[in-house]
Amino acid sequence: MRLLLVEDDSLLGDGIRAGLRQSGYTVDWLKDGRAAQLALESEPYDLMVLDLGLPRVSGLDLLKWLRERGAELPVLILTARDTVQDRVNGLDCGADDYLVKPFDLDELAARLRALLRRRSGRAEPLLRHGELVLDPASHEVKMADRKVDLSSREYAILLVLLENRGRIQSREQLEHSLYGWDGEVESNAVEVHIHHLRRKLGSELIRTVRGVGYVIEKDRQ
Amino acid sequence: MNAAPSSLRLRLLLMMLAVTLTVWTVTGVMSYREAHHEIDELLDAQLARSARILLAQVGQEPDDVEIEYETEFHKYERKIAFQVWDDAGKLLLRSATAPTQPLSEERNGFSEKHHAEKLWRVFSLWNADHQLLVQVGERHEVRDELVEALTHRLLYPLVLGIPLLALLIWLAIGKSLAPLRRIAFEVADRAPQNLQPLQAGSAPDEIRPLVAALNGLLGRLDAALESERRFTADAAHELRTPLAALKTQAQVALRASAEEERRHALQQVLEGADRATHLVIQLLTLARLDPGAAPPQLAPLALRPLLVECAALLAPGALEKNLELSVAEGDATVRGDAAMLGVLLRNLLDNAIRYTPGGGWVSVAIRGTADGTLLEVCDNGPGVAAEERERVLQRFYRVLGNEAEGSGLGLSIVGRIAELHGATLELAESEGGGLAVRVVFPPVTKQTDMLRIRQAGTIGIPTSSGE
Repeated sequence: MRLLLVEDDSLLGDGIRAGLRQSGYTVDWLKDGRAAQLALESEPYDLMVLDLGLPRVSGLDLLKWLRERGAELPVLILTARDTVQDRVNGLDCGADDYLVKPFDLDELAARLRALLRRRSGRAEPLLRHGELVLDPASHEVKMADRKVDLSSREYAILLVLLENRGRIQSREQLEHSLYGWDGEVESNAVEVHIHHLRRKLGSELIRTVRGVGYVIEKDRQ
Repeated sequence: MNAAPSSLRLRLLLMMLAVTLTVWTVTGVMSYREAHHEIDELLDAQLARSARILLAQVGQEPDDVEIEYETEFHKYERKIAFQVWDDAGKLLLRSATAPTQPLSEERNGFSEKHHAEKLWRVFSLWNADHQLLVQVGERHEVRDELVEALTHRLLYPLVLGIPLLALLIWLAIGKSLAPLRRIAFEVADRAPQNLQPLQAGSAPDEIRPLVAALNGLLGRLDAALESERRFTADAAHELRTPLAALKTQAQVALRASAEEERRHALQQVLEGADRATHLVIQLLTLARLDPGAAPPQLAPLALRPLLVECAALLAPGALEKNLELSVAEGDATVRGDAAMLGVLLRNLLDNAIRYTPGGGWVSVAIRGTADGTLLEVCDNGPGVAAEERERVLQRFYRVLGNEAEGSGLGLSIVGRIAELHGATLELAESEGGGLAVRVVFPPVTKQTDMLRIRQAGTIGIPTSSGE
């Protein structure tokens, strides 16, 4: 899952980035609203964590701009302003959730999972596909009640494909959600991870559409 | 309202009564004397006229020596007497009320004499043609009675009027003092947090200054409280971010599986603690410089030793960033508080070092000028845009896009200390394109006067870059 973090405080930004990476997100971190606008125009993100007191373009203005463009990207606001009026303003500007500083990393991660779940129209926290069960909270994957050990990259790819069942994900899209801007992408890394996933979960699960990308098909429940 | 001895109403009443009575008494005494004199004149004139009329009547021979009036026409008639004497001193004619001895030894004009223990006022008239002496007398007590009666008639209404007058004065004063009572009631009835101005309304001119003074005080209180509330809210808000950073980094460290990741997170925890500490120290410094706090004790002191001490303290940080920190020659004496000026210098130097990128320079100079003593801290950092120069003096305002992490309080503290020293603070562009901060202290002799004016007139932190 690729997440955009917009936070101007360097210590806090560094901490959130590290914490969300531990939770398996690919995190791009920007420190001002203008840079965030540029990034949102060019990159596909699954989630945004937004501080309100930002230089250049404020968090609320960024949020309004985003919603005016019709983007449905789930947005969680982080802020030191905690009055009811502040919360109402944030939610009315198009935020999906609200967290007041200081907060707990586990709570932040849980709220982000809930946002993703709601975006894909699920109420159940677990992702199920036939005999395959993925728990986004614990990062556990089970096949026919048997635990399957996956590397963090393999897990990330599986999560993206499961969240987007029926929609083909290109190799570039998968690379982005794995590495963001920071990591160095090896040319065949995605193919290698897909290969490992098929070995661990069965070759039927992930289908290749030649020249386009990969997909887990719908309706195999 | 209580009629206690300290009551304004009672005091006014007593004073007005005392003044009225004094005026009445003086007027009464003067009227008495005046009336006495006029009555004397009037009755003397009557005596004289009676004598002349009598003289005109006694041209012919009188039948009888004694004349008895048959009826008394007036109660004063008995107290009037006359005698007519011939040249030889023989009593030709007299009234029944008159004695047989001469009423007076005088042969002409007014005189006074006792007969049968009564004092008589007598007019004697000698007529040379008829060789007759006419004497008309009147008992002196008539005059006293007349004056007494007149005075009584005058005094009775006044004496009876005193209680009525007191009552009217009492009511009038009460009515006049009603606005004062209303204002007192309004103030007493207020909730402590209600600092709205009082309504002067129909208050008389004498009470308006009091209302205005009270409203001024309320206004200043309100401003001070509002500034305090805002400060507390801002401070709490500013502490949330460093606390969030601390908590997040600590959680990252706890979760980290790799040693390097944990070390990094713990380093960040330390840095976060340092930053929060710095913020708290700055907040405390600002709180101690609060307008409500005691004014500083200013004494003449040399600026340079303080500056050198500060520069030495902060030099390691500058060296670490490879900054060239220099203190120019020159010194001057200002009236100041050494501890406060130390905080001012530390904040100015710390700001310059913090915001100037590595490889740059920071220079400090002290110069005597026509306006006083100039302390100037220059750098070749990013500077502050002209339109932002006023706002950076506000609390918690940071210039956007700065990588350096500050509390946003440094220049507020500097501004407040400058204000307490009667100095002006000005931001400008330095020669190197960075920021020049100029603090101008007034000349040592003038400083005290300026301070008095400033401390009397202002509350809060000035945004005085354009002064």
